[in-house]
Amino acid sequence: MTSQVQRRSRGARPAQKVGARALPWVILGLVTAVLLLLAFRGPDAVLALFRPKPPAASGPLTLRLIHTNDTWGYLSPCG
Amino acid sequence: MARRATQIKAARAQGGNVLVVDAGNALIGELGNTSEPAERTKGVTSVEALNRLGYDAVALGPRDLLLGREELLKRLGEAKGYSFLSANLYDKATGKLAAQPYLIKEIGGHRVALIGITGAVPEENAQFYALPALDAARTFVAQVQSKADVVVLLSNAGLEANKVIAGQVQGIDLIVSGGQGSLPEPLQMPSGALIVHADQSSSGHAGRVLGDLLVSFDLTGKLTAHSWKAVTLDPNIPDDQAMAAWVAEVRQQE
Repeated sequence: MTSQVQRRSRGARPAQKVGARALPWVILGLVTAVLLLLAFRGPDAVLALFRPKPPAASGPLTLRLIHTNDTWGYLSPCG
Repeated sequence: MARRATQIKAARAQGGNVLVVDAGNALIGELGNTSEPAERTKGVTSVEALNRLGYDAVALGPRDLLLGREELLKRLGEAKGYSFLSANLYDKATGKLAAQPYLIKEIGGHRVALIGITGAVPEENAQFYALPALDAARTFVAQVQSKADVVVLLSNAGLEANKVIAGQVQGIDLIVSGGQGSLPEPLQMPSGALIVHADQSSSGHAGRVLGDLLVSFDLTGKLTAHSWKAVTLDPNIPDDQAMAAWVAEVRQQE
């Protein structure tokens, strides 16, 4: 019994070592990805990763937007 | 106004998902132009016209502040069926936002956020101040991200400032631009945000052009296609009779 436990624990050690060796590379990869996002897309792109997502829509949307600006309250268009 | 009513009614009559919005400076443009009822009535006719036209959202612009605090706050309360919006205009008397910063409309199974941005307010204004448009856009776009899948800014910060906002704030789908500048065609920024700016006003020349934008979004709210035209409200467009009658009535009171 004791020898079986010892064998199992000995067998797990290489996997743990591999995991421990890979961890810094995983962290480095994440840091690099964040830095690249910061450099090319700005801080908002990084923050966007952590923001909650909007509710899912039921389908695509076609929207007609009639827009005005700087009408100054004029009742009759001039020009 | 009567021609604008014709265009808006025609768009609605064709069906589909229609929003009617204004990017700001809709209440009054200048002091001393007594030929326009907006000054004589302190913006009452402007709000009544927006009510009759059935706008969905109207941003507050720096020119609207010419009404003065007391009258402006009264006008905000007279809006029917829509809200005046500003995410960065503060009332010095209260230290709070002078208007609602944004609203969210459910349309076609999507949630569309409309955020108002006010252009620069002169420092000597004793009643109001505006925080930088870019900061306000960043703050409120982040706030609506979890509530809406389409984000629209109604910003009268001016075309150049709006380009900066579109370039630096992630998550904006569309900017309806106002203030200084004009665009003959929509401008699509590398961020994906689309900017439209229909008219450039000057003394005696305002309200001449409206923009008519058809825009498509996919399931995730990503803008996939657009078409746009500027409509000059010239005599080729017939008057809407009901609106024309109301305008005539207002002018008789002068």
